[in-house]
Amino acid sequence: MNPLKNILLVDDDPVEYMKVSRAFKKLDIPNPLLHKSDGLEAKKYLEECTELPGLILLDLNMPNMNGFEFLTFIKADERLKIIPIVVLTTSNNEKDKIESYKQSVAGYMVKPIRLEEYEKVISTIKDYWSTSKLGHE
Amino acid sequence: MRLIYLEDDLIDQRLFKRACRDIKDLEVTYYTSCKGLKEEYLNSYDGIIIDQYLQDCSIKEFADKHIHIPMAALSASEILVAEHDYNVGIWQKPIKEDALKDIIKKMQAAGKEKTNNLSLEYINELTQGDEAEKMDLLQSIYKSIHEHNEQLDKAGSLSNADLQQLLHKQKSKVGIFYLEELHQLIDHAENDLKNGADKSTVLPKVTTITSQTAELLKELKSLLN
Repeated sequence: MNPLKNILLVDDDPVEYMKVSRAFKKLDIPNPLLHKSDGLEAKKYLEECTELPGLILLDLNMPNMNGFEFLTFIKADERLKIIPIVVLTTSNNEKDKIESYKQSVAGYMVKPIRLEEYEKVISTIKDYWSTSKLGHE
Repeated sequence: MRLIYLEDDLIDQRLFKRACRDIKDLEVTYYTSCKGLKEEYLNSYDGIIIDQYLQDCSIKEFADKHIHIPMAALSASEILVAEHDYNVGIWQKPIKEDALKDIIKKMQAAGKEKTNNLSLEYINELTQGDEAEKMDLLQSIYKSIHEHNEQLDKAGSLSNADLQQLLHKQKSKVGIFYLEELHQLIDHAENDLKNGADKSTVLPKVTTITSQTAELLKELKSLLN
């Protein structure tokens, strides 16, 4: 992935932002990490930004506009639907997984509770999206 | 093994020293009062042994505040009645070498159990040794867990969706302390609701969750004090 492209984290929990941010630092991921606290904030940002993020990390359980509502919005937008979205959630629920893939997510990752496993997840996302070509590079 | 022995009777301190004499790898620091002993300092020890009737010190308050540190009480009374729920029990004074070895074993087990419970590894990693930031973060997590637990206490009057949402929030906060069993329990309750289970079948799990979370809150509070 273009190392200059932003990565957008959509998660209402500020501690999750700290975790991802820390993992980025430890794994030397150079991409700037943007944070929006719910789907509505992220929607507003995407509607206004000129440079689309390279990847969106999306939580599902959020106030105002949850992850599924956000996916419905983004997949209906011609400009935005090419952004790969990886769900990053604590939900291991089958219905959530199926619903996410129905909305064409690029991946579904369950947040591990242990630090080293969390970093592995972020590292896997980094490796995959560093090799894979984006549709909007 | 590093212990603190709180004893205001100097003869009892000498008898204790004698019991320690042949125990390997044991380091004991003696105090005659619990006043002025800071939390961080106490945390650096593996356990505390305390005279149950220590003068000028509220043992109950002290034991409540340091619930996360393995603690044994000593009493000269022939009938051992614990004035408080010490996690390594109450023992007869003067302590003998064999009894002290038992106390050490129990403290090691309690310490291990402790490590398997609340862990600050993630918090330490996130705050990178900045003590003020660590306390701020712990404070905000404590506040959030406390608020959610109060709401979960009224689970019976909540809608399924609200209950599910609260459980979800509580799950991620509990996870940061590596409380895997509690995390799993919350996950099950959340999934039950998501999969359409009747709320009444989930409520017993919620009761267990709130009670275990209350224990976590106690431990967090003691770290914050």
